[in-house]
Amino acid sequence: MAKPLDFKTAEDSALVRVALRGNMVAFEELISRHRDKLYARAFSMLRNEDAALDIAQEAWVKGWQRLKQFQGDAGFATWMTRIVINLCLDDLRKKKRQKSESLEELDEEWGGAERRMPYFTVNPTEGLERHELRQRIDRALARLSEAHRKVLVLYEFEEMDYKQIAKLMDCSIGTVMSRLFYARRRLAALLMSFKKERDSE
Amino acid sequence: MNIELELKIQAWLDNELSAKEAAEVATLVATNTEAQALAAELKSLKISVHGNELALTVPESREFHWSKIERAILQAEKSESRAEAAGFSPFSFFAWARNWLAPVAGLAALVAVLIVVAPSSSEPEYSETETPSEDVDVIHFKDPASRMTIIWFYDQSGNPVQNPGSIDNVEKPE
Repeated sequence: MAKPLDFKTAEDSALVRVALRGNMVAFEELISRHRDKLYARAFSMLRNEDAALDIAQEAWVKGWQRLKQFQGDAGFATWMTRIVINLCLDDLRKKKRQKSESLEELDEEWGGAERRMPYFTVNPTEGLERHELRQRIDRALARLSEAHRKVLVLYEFEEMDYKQIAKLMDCSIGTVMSRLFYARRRLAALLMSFKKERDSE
Repeated sequence: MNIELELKIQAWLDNELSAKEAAEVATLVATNTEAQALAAELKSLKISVHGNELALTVPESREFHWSKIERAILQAEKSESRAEAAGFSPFSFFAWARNWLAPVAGLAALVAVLIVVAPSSSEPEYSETETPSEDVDVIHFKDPASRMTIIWFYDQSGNPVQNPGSIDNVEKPE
């Protein structure tokens, strides 16, 4: 007789197979393993706790409904993260449609103050403890524009290349390159200002 | 430095350039102090940011989080099955249309084509048609190859009709 699957120690792929037969306990185990990652990704893109919770929940429901489509080429967490990213991008698109064009949007493509900024010769994060470094980066990300933050999160944290980001965001590779460039320059400026703040304390 | 060069330096650091372009940018960075400064800034930023995302946790207990998801899943399944039972599910309609309407439409199109094409294709090279009428009989002879049509009009006694009226409908060979 086959041994019953131990959900706590089973691999994701085994839990997916069991969940595909309608077993919600197996799916709950998958959620408990990856819920923080999915929530963190939604939060990094939306910068709003309630919205991130809603999107993460919607993603899990969609994940259950589309479980048959999971091919197993990438890991389950990666597959679920793509669902979250797509939902976040849809949400941001809907919100953007309600806003009017602004000067900020032009700056996202062509650079604002970053265009005239000198290059930094000092590393603004040098000597920081890992936890403090992460907090500063998060604080700086929160102050980026939505377009700059999206592209930076997808490139640096999701490790997507220019082509993948362009496809996902439905824009040209050139747009991805310029947004990423100005996002980095703005981030460097923000990190430098945080360093100066701290140095003057 | 212009923006094209700045973007190329960034793409070089991101490993997004071809080998030839990468070699060109490497030479530029090695010889140009401005290019060197930008490359250094972008590189140190990349190192600082990469993998240093703040670790966040869902601000809800595991049980509460799951209960919300479970409720949403069950609710979605319930409304879907209710819609299916009522026959209003858009998904079931499209599935039905795909399974039945498409083959029927294809068959109808095929029949229509056969109706239009069949008479001419089944038509013999030389055809003769007799049209019975009380007063006048007509024999119609058609040769599609030479694009010729001959029509005989004759009365009940078999004599040709001298003035059959309009001959507008008679095909004339060019």
